[in-house]
Amino acid sequence: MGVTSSPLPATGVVPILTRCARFLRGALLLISALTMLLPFIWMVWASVQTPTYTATLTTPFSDWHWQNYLTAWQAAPFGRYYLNSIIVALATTTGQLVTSILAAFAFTHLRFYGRRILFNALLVTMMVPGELLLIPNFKTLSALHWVDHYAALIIPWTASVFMMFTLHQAFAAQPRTTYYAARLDGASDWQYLWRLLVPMNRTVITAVGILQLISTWNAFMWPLIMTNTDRLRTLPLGLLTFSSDIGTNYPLLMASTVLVIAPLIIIYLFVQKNLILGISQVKWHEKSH
Amino acid sequence: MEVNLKHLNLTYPGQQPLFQNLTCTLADGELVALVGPSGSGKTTLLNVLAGILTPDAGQVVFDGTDVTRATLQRRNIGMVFQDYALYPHLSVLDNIAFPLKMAHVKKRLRYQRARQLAELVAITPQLAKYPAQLSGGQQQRVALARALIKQPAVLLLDEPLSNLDANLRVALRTMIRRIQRQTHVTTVFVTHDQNDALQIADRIIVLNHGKIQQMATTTELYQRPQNQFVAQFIGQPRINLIPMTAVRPYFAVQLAPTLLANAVTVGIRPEALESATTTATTLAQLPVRLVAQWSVGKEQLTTVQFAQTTLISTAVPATTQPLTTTLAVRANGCYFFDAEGNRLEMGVPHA
Amino acid sequence: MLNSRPTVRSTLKALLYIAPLLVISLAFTFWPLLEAFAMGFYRHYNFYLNQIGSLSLANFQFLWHDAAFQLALRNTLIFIIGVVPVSIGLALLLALSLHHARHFAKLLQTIYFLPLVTSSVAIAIVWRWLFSAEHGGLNGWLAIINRTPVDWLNDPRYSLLALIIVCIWHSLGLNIILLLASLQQIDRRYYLAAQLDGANSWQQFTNVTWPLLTPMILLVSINAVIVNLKVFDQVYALFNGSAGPANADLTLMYYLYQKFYVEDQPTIAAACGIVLFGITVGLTLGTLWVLRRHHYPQRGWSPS
Repeated sequence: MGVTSSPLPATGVVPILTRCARFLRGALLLISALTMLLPFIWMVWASVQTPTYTATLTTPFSDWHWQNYLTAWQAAPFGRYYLNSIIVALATTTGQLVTSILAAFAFTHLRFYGRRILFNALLVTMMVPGELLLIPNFKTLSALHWVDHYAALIIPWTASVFMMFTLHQAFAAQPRTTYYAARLDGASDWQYLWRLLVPMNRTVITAVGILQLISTWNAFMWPLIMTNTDRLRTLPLGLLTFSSDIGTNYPLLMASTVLVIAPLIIIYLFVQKNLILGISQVKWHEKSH
Repeated sequence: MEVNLKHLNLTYPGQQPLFQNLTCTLADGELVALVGPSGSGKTTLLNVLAGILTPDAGQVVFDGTDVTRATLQRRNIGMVFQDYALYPHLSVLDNIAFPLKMAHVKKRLRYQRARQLAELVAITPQLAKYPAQLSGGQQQRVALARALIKQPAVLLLDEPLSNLDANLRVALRTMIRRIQRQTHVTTVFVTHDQNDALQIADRIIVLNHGKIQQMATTTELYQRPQNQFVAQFIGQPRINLIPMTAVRPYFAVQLAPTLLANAVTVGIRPEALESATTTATTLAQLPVRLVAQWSVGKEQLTTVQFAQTTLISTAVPATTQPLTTTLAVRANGCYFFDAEGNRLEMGVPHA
Repeated sequence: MLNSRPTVRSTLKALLYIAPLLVISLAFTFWPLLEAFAMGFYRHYNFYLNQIGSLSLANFQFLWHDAAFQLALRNTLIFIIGVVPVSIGLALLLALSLHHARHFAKLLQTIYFLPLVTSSVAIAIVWRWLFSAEHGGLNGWLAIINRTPVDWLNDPRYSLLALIIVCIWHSLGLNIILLLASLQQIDRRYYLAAQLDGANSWQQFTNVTWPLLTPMILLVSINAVIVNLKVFDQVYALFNGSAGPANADLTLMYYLYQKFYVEDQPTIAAACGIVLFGITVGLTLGTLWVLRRHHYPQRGWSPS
């Protein structure tokens, strides 16, 4: 190849400037990445120190106290917390997915009276701080005798307008011809929804599913108020209780913190490509009504 | 299946009425092309046939059964959309077999049928692939196979060839013609390219502003256009239109008085404007000035200036003539239109 | 189908599809919303027996005069002003850099997003330790640059700053991803066209990137404001179940929690919730209004 298509002159000020800018950009990215990572590194490092550690980074590897994890696991009912978190997170997310998919389909593909009003009314609830509803919801759940039951942690959260809206945007962006083709091919609305629309949008659906899973897993204030017994505590609650119990034994505290966040980080590392892709695909600021 | 459209009315919200009292009949096993400029209502008419759109009034009748209010599933229609509408997450085989799956046909049987259809549209090597891995022409054929697998009563094709390159177009339209002959399914296809229509259709419907201008065979459309729009729309190069007042002094024959009274525009097909000497079929002699001459393939195109109008002819041989000359207008290929654009019968015998 | 009008039948069918979401929303969003509004106006209310004394504006008057509420409002405002501009600005800078980065872009994205995946309680616990006076990592760095160590979590002058740092760190990832997604959706041909028109990179930024990115920046900002208005978990965990030294980190949400759960004054808490809701709605509607004014016609799907 004897011809280069570069629009820039081969010598002169421009390449130096570009190189400088590129260097600055790289440095910025690297420093911020380190800042984001540092607390995690610190956490893992601290979790393997002896309780009487000194704040140096020079502990030899052979002195690392991996048994801190075992000690932490045994010091509090983390097994129970794990089970609670898994049950609550999976049940909530599944519920949210089902209700959101059904509603998003109806709003995008079916004609009915009051469609716009209902949709907008639901959208408005996205603005309501969930915490405002905490007090009356506590009242309702007490009346239902759901306080201190899984139901209180799961059922109120099985409707997510955020998720419905996200899926609504994705479903609305689907070419209409696919729907007509499916109907002409003999599929009912129900079949079209589950056999075609859902699989076609699986990227977005998994992404919002994971996002909701994360937020349920990490939920704090709601389970704090709706449960009173250790039996129902989820991981974040258990962690905090544990942290006030053991005071300043940081290595043990850090070990338990790692235990709490590890599952989500592992899931995240597996799905992150899909997650970021899914978030990127949604047209957040275009209402299609 | 015979298809009847009876007195259809349809108006898009907030727009002028599109169809008013539209009526037509498609014979069983016929291949009908729907042509017209964009916005003429071609796709709308197709959607009405499919059941995607419901007319405000009128009936859609399949073989004597009124299906106007029938759902999409019940009409038994195969349709190929302009964007093909393949299911991106299903393989080609599963795409083709999907209608049978919906009809609860056993897996073995439906795959067997799907393979037969794939054979028919010559897509067999691609069966395991996904739509995104196929070229436009291949996707087109998959869509065609999927539309045909349930042996539809009517096959609808919406601009099936418009996204393809010229060679593929010709190959595919021949394929569509062949398959249509084999399956004998009543077929309607929308196209904005008159060549597709002229080449393969049994009959052509010319649509403009939601009105059927004419429904006829290729030859009839060309030789006996019902009005000025059809005459202009069909035929390449386009027909020459000249105001009657400009041509009137140059007529070589006596025209019927009613014709003279009503004709406003004269249309002359490019091949009817010849440099040959006067014969019995010559209608008029026009003094013209030669403007340009060039050849496109085997055709020799000539533009000439007549009064205020530029005319085009395909019947003038490569130039050896002086710049001003006289061209003869052949009767066969010359039409008269009244003020509304309707064609007037000439009253003199055609050759 | 395309132009079919809704019928009673189709409405019933659609309602069946929407019912699960609707029932849950009615029970746990719409109904409590009404109740919360009503409760804010109750006086002499017995929460457990559900006995209502009378309706009045007393709760709001109480809030108006309550020094703690004023402090909470002030703290929340300072907190938002501290978090949102920095977080958005940094996110924009990082998103732009990432957009042009050739190597490791995916890895960096993964790292930036990491805090978001992490429980805010766990994060706060780690930071509690990083901030701690004797063993804390931050003071170790301050020592390196010869500054006197700061007792981040016990000194009222610094504890709000500590909260701000934690929240910026926590929320940066989502903002980056959303802005980056928006950047990547900009058609490359616009840049080619701009280059052909002779625009340099700064002009390309001001004439192509910025205008096309504005709606998303607005959206991300408003989301950040709303989320941070409701900050609670981090406060609770960072200061181990208190509102910081001398209530220096008392936020509106923490105030609500305290009134409801600790001080057993649900009506005051409800009134505080209404104020929060009012602020949120005001901000959201304001943003929507700006977005709509900014909105340029976009091609959508239309029949035929």
